[in-house]
Amino acid sequence: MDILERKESYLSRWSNGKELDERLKSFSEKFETWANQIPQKNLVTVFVLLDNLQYYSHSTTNSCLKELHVKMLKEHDVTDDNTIYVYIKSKDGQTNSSNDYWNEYKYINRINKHICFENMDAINENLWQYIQNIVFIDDFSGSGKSLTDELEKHPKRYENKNIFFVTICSMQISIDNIVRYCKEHDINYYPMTNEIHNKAFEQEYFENNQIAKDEITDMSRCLKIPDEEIMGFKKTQSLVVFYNNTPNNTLGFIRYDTDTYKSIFPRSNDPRPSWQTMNNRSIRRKNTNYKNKAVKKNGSV
Amino acid sequence: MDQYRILLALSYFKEKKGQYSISELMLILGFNNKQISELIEFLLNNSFLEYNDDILLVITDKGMTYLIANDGAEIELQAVGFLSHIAPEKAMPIDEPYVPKNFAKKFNR
Repeated sequence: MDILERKESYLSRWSNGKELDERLKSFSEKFETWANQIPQKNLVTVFVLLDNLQYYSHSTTNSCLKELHVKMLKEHDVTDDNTIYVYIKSKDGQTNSSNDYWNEYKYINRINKHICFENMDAINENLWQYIQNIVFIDDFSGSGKSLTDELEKHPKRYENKNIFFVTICSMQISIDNIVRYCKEHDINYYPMTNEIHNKAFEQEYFENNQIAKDEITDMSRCLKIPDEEIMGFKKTQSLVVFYNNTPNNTLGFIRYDTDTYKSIFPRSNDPRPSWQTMNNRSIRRKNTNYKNKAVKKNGSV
Repeated sequence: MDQYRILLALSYFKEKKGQYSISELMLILGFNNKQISELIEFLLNNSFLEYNDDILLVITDKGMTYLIANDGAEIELQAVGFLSHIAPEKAMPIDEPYVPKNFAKKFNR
């Protein structure tokens, strides 16, 4: 298969025959240039991995959010009186992709706004006795760490409660980790996920998984991808991309940009190289200085 | 509900078609989660937006009519940029004079 045919086959599979979204249009434009960065000897292995990459479009993720909600209501005692809907905030408190999924989940499923909480700490301690179910909504769970870290913050709060983790896709290792944590802490855990994936180099994609893994590791080092990024966060070796972001669990060469290498599905909030942040800081400093001078001159803002 | 932001939101959905992001819309409007939810619910409840067969939020014919009728059809989102985060419900009335900081000190000099 030549490079253009390969590109078309990916686009056809990932778009599901629909109009290309922005990420796929960018993929289409960049594909040949990106492939030229990959050493020739590694192309076969790289393409096998791309052949098995799962791309979730906006429409697909929204369909999943709807179906998972219907399934949850059908199989469990989840009502407005005993349930709250939340998401896991990023550590720096900034808006992240989880926020988008939580919002869309609410609108699609017409969830009562009084049981949707951006901040669970706002719920009075006395009222927790009435909440039996906590529904966390997210796009992807790679290692389960984000949920277990969240549960760890208030272990007493979640004891004997039902935790539903609604995700478009989860790694098997994530489910195993969360099950283990919840068992140790008397929490009832129900994963509500559309698909469960296993690690890329523990599948049947290659005759010899270890050789393929070593090959990708060496290739990634040549591309100057940091060691901790090569196999994804917590080495989850995921092959997942969403319409609005790429999880940091996904293999590094798919989403990690360096000064010399531009990936095919860059992650939207990876740290920028210092020469970009320096420029931003310089502009901000000039703006601040200008404003300070204006205030000094006019005595007002 | 702040009409300017309603028109901006409808312009956003008109321009983006199915390729929207709620987070991006929040940045453009300077809204937090509570405010964006109130706005989206308002637009859905008034049939200015709807979920289509692909389960994507899109502007309806009624939403387009509202946009055109209120001179919102020509809004260019790129020219708007990102609005500062303010609480529209706490905005000062238009006829109340705004007194700059330290104005009295300047005046009495």
